[in-house]
Amino acid sequence: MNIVVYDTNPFNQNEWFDLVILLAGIVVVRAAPVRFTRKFTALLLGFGAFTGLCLDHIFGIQPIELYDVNDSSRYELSDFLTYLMYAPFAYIYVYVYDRIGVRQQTAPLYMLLWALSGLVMEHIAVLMGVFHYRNGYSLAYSLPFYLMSQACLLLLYYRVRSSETVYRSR
Amino acid sequence: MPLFIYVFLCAVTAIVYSLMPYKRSLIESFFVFFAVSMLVTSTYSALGINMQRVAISDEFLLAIPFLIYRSVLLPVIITATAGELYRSRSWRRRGMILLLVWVLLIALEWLSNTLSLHTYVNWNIGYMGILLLIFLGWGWMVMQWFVKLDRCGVERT
Repeated sequence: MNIVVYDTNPFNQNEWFDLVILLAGIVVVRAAPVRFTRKFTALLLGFGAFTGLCLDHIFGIQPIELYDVNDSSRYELSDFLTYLMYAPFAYIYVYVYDRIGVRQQTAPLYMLLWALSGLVMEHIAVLMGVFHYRNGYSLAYSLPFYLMSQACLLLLYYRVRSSETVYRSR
Repeated sequence: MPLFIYVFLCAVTAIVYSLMPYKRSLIESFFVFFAVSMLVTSTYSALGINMQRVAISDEFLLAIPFLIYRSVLLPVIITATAGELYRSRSWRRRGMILLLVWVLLIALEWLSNTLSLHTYVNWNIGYMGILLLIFLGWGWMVMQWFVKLDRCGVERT
């Protein structure tokens, strides 16, 4: 495998971007009124990190190699920061969905709005040097990935909610 | 052919897991699966990309079965084992389960190596066996932590 190096500085704008977004996400998660059980909260956070990491390790490595993350095509510690960055988003996504009581008929619209905001965030991340597209990949191709992962998250939410306690008793 | 084998193995594992009488709840199974899959995927990537010890095949029809093996099959087996280890009361039974699953995982690792899904470079099945044991330990540890999460770590069912 060819190792491509994009940036030799170990800590600059892309790492700062990851760190700021992750910290902002943690602040929002901590500040929001408690709604779900600890287990369900951990599951949602775990889903976010898992999706980011797995998709990157499927589509970012050979033979597909659609993009690289952070400073080089090697797997670095700061890459893990990028995957953790997705965790609060998964929680906030379900939290808002549940809080405002989105109906199943309007769920696609909700997903589309989040997917579009995800594209905006990704564009900023590209400008900051977090993602480096390869082999003809572009921002628009990310839309189906966002929609699919969000659909999976909602399926998980409905499936778990139907069989287990997800709300924290007051 | 490798793709068929790994899809078949995944299907068999999923059926066996769904038929297990005392499996853990959905929320616990999913969380442990996520945690194990992240560790297994990261380890294989570090071994393949950074350390150049486990070279993943460039061929698409071999890389896809490898991804299924690494991100789905191994984590599902380890999650099921973690549930059984947590449920077992005696250390003897735990040891037997651990040994059986470890042998099964080494056999799967040998199979993926034989089918050329990946190739070892200055690496061998012995080192991989140690890593597989660590994955099993990690799954069990996460299961123990997660089951007690909403109960402040005192009860056990």
